[in-house]
Amino acid sequence: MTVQQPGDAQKVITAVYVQGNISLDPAGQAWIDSQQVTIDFSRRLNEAGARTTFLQDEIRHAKMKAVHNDTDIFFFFQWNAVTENNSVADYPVFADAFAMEIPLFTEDSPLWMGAMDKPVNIIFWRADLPGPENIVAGGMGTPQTSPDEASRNIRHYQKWENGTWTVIITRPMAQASENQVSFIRGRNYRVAFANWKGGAYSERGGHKIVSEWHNLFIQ
Amino acid sequence: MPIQRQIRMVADLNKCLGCHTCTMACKTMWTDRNSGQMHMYWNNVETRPGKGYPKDWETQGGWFNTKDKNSIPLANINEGYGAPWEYNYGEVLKTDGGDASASVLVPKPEPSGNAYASNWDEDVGDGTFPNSYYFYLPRICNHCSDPPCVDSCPRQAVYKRKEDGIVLVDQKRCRGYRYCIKGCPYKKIYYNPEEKISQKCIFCYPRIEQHKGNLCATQCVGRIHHVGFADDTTGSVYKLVDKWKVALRLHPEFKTEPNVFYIPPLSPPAYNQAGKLTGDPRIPVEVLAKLFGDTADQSLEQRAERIREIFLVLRTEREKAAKGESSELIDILNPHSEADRIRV
Repeated sequence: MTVQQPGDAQKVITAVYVQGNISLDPAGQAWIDSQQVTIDFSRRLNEAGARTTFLQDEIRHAKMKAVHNDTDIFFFFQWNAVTENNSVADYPVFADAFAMEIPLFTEDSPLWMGAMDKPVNIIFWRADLPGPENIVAGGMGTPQTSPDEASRNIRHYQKWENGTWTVIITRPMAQASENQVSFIRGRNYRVAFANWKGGAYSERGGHKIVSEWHNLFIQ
Repeated sequence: MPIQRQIRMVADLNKCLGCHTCTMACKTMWTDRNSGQMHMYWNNVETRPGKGYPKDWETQGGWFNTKDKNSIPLANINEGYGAPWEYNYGEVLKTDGGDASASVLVPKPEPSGNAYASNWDEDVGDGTFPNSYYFYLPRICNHCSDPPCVDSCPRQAVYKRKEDGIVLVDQKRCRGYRYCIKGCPYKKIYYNPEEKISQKCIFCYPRIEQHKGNLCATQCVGRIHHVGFADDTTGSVYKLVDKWKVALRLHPEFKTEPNVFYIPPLSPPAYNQAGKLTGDPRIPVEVLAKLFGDTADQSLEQRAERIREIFLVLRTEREKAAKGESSELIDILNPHSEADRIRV
């Protein structure tokens, strides 16, 4: 794992060390001392055939926090969503989704899904799925959910209430397979985020809005 | 990647009975696995003129024939396809433990105001008595030479096999984005909301690999299908399409180069206002020309002309055969064994 220097990327997110158990609870004690960062989503790529729903110069925002207890790392996300889109049960129906992307073993993987020699590790949450997926991608159109059992070690909390999604994602810090990044204390990681609006927006696949690279520091 | 061989099918619409045996053979073989497949008819037979299945598929558009791809709709299952329903047989019939508590069969769930389903308009057709007409149009995936579903998938989950040109959706790569469904102007890719992926006609490739015909073709009561490879110049598919030129593509203007071909249906003569038979077919050639043609760039007039030519060839050869003369075309159209019409 290449060490990243803070300042390489746009914003610094610190995964704060918290002693003891951390629960999958947005009201949990662990989140109180952690620093909140606002993620700006402004980059997008319109796939042909996708509904052009992005407003001119649309920018979305999400609040984010990260904590760890030396064993597991937790990511907290919160963003506005006027409606809860948690189903893909019919042809025109699409679900809300969120993802974070980290270069798998190089420091400079391309933002748009990495490249063949510079793959990225993605944690993908979609409101209708039983749990977040561990994905590896080596370029646009290549993302693949890791088929190995070990990579199914991501747990989560999700709740939509009063026009807000709250999602917490947790994973053991040590990689469970070569399809995952290990989070090591004292190190910096590049991380980028993506957001999809389901429902009438029909966002899916490359039709999404993406943040710049951020810097994630593991305290 | 260029393909090595292309499998093709010719369906002789003069022989289609509308019995739906092809549909049922396909359904029981491939799409009765889970509730997400219940609305799927990889093979369906629709009445023409009619709305088809899904409803009004011809006007929805596809990747190569729609200017604004964003405008291509995704129909929903209940209204666009039609929810499969059951009848209250148990309440009406005393057989199988029924109690005869109801006197009328009613469907459940009850169709809504916009009710639709596969064959909702079966045998309705068009025209005014005594010139009413309809015919049947069996449809599978066209396994196009320029498949828009392949083009529209951003994940390369849809692909065309090199060895036979069969178009398949890789069920492990598909993420259920449904661009392929928008892409296909024939709406022959279905979405499985239970498995959250797209599924389609596979041309029975496991059977083709064993040199057996696809089930819609082998189970057909009217034996209307011919199946074979485009480059097999001794096969009936080649002879019907390229030698005798009596088989046309469905909506070639969609620009996908379908590999399913149809011999357009002849029909009895129409009556004039005085009640006398005319020389015109009861199914207007102009109606057929809106459906069938050779290439994307043909005009409707050129397509109508081709259909008249085909009818002339069919009649001429039929008269020859009726007189006891030999006709290769009539021999092909009256196959004596499965091997005569299916060569894979």
